[in-house]
Amino acid sequence: MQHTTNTPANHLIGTLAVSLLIAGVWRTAAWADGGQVRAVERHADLQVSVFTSPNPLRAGPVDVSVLVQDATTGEPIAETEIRVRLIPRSAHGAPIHALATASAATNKLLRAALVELPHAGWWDVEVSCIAARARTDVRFSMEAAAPLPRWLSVWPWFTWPLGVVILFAIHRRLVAQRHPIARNIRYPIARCC
Amino acid sequence: MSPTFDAFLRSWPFAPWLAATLTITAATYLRGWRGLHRRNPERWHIGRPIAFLGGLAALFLALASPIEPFAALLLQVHMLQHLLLMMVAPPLIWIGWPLVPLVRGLPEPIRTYWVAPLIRWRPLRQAFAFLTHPLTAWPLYVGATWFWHTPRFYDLGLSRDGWHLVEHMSFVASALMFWYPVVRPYPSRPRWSRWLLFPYLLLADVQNTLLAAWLCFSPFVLYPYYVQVPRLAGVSALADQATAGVLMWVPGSIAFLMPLFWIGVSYLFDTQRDGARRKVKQQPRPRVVPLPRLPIIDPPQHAPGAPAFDLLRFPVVGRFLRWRFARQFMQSLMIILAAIVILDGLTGPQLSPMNLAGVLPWIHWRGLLILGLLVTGNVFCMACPFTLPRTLARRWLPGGRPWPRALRSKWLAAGLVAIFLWSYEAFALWDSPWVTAWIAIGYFVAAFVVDSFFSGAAFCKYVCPIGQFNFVQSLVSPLEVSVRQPAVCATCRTKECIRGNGAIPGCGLQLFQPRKHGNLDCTFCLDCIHTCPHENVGILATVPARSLWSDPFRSGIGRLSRRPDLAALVLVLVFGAFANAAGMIAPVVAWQDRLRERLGNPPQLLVTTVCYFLAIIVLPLAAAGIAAALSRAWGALGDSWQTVVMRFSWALIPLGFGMWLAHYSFHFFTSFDTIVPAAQRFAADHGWNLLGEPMWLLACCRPPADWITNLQVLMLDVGLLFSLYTGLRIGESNTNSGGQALKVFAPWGCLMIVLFALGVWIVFQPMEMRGTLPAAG
Repeated sequence: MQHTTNTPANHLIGTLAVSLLIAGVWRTAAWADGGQVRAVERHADLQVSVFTSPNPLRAGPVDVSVLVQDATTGEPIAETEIRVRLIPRSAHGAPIHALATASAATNKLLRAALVELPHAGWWDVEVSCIAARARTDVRFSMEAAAPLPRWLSVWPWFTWPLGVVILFAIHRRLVAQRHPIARNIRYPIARCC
Repeated sequence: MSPTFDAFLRSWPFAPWLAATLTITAATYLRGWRGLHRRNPERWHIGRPIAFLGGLAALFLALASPIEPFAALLLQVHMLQHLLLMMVAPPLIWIGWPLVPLVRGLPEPIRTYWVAPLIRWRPLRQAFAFLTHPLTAWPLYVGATWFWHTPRFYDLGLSRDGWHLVEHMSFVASALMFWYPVVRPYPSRPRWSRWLLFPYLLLADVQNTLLAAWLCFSPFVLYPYYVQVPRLAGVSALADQATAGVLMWVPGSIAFLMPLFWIGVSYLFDTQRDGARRKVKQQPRPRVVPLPRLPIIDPPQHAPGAPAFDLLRFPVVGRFLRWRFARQFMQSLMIILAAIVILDGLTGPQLSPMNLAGVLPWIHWRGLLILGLLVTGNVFCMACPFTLPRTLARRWLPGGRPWPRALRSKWLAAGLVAIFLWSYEAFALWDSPWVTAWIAIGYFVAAFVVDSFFSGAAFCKYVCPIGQFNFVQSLVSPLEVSVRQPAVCATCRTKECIRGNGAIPGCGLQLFQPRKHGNLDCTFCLDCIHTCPHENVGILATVPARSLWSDPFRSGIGRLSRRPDLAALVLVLVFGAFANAAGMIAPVVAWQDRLRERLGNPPQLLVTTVCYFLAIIVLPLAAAGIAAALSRAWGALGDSWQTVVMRFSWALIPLGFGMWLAHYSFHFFTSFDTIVPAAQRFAADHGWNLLGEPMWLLACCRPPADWITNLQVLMLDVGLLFSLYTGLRIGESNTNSGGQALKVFAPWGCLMIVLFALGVWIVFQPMEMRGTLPAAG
């Protein structure tokens, strides 16, 4: 066996690079907090806004984000304790409790709680914000649709090899056109390593 | 600092794929640019990479900086994001003249043999020329701008994540096309007059001004989404919209008018240069060595005989591996771990997540083993603890007997692999620390007994199921123990690599280095490296799966196409990968339960045994037999179906490896910290309280992150592509024409796609979090 160049390592790096580039092109939308505004309520000096994502809302992982602001100045208030409670309207299923925190939020203005909605249907949501000066409760309802099949959100991840196969087929055809005599194409990568 | 601004500075989204993509793109560009800069420093000056990297940085800022999360709350920030995507990043990228550096930065074989024909493809070039022609690019750019700024579609982009992504992609794509004719990056050769750029840019500025003015002077909020969101820092929705309009108007106009100014100046400059050219024409023309117009089709630049990457020459690691006792050192560490596993398995609590025997072998060792095979090679066999006692005691052991001729094949090993896979599921080995400890003891005893009586590494070559797994999977590893310079071996008369040198034995697996191909049967024991007096054996880089593409005579093995036992081993391991993973997903478990009910509740062991027998014995035989029969029929092959199976079954290895990798790395990545409480518990039980109280929370199951599933699918993707390519190469090596090769390969390709689809389905199913505590715990 003859190792003549640093080609194998390069080839490996290239393979990795191409794989990552292809995967990177299909970067899905960032799973960030924010999303659809569900409720905005003012109580005393506080204004509380609640967002949910993804949009449209579906059973599965759901982000409930809360922005607490000073109602007068609009400045965000950091020292707050925010509890989120999701109660299914249907008889089955227990309520879900979660604490919304800044560490779980991408946007540091918000406090986020990542919860797993076990099933589709209507959910009553209660958000309690306890700041030094006041407590505000926000209530609203939201409907979660049935979750989409997982493959619908990740289809680019398992279909991109098809693109590679098509490119490979085009490549073979092009090479064969250039060298019509050499019908049995030999790949130099194998020889050079 | 205001709290809003402070929060803004700390709001960085996590975008690893974008970061990886941009980093690799930048590295590829810089690699290509460096070579071009050496050739022609004036043309490829430092400004090019600065501009290109600036463009990538603008993309990163737009999509993975605080701008991204705040764009949903403030229209002006969203406008800034769009400006970066449409007016900053694309022109900077083109100013970097990225086409040639990016192609040159690719590894030479990919560039020369794969990319170059595609780049030369006329329809692709024509499509690119059409899309970047001013009369096409302008309407596309303006159309994308106006389309997405109409209230209905702007709100659609804000309210639907998928549409937001489409919006950004269309912005970037149309802007790249728009700015291409303006910058005209090398080696573009436009056929239209540069004067066309004056109306091109002026009209673009006019439409931008109209849109910006609409935003600035509108008496009502155009985008209802921004009416709903809470206002920040007292900025009203209307004021926010006006500010966004100003941003679009002023910096946008500058972006369009600055190139106009630059083009005007360059026209003046070009006129002077033309005069200079005329003067130069009268002088005798110096002989110019033409540079290739498309450097991508350069012949390979490397000198023949240049060394491949050699792990033994790598700093620190190479020095360690060259140390005579490196292997024994690694084995000693592993034997300590094995002793701990045995001790804890026999004496510790019989709950898998709490016991090191339930955690270390089944989560960490398996995960690291497969990852080691992926990034290096057969590192587990190199550090195998089971063979250390017999190595140390070899001088006092009888040994010397040859391994029975009847057993000199892989049939026994293939059977043991099948039994191991079956017993893992049938007796839930992973769930019993006690049984795990006894398996480890059994391994030590078996290795010691077999190698006490028989010469060489009989246990490794003919018995060890783990070894067989490693041998087969390491065929797709990137490193291989191999000869550095074949010419040196041709002059060698002493052959220490196979005979030994007195102090160190030769290869116990009868692999003669000059005739060794691939990693099959190689334990990475490094004896050949230490014995070679010419220092001509290294751990060299190789193309993964390359050794499967041809079927030469292999030392200690023979030809793959004449070894039914090896083909059987490969099929058991490939189908075992899918059966092993499928055995722990909810739909398969439920299906087994239903089947058991229908059959009148026979013992679970019987159902599992029948299922496994079908999955790893009958199904592989049937699938490979049908594929071979179709290969023979379609490709008019004269070989027997057994020969076809023996040849093509090897092409399934990369896909099988992908499945093992996806499965084992899943458990490793989701449960790697289970070792912490188990180690704390073990230490506390033995009177060492240094590690503190066990943090049992870490032993609890966690839902797998999305990136793990994506990574699993990526592993299967790459495995499929390698398998398809390997199958095609095998087909070509057995036929006389490309068409016939395709026909011969087609049934195997279909089998690979079916297995791939099965693998993708498996990774999307809820998988048992074996080795972890239940959530309630």
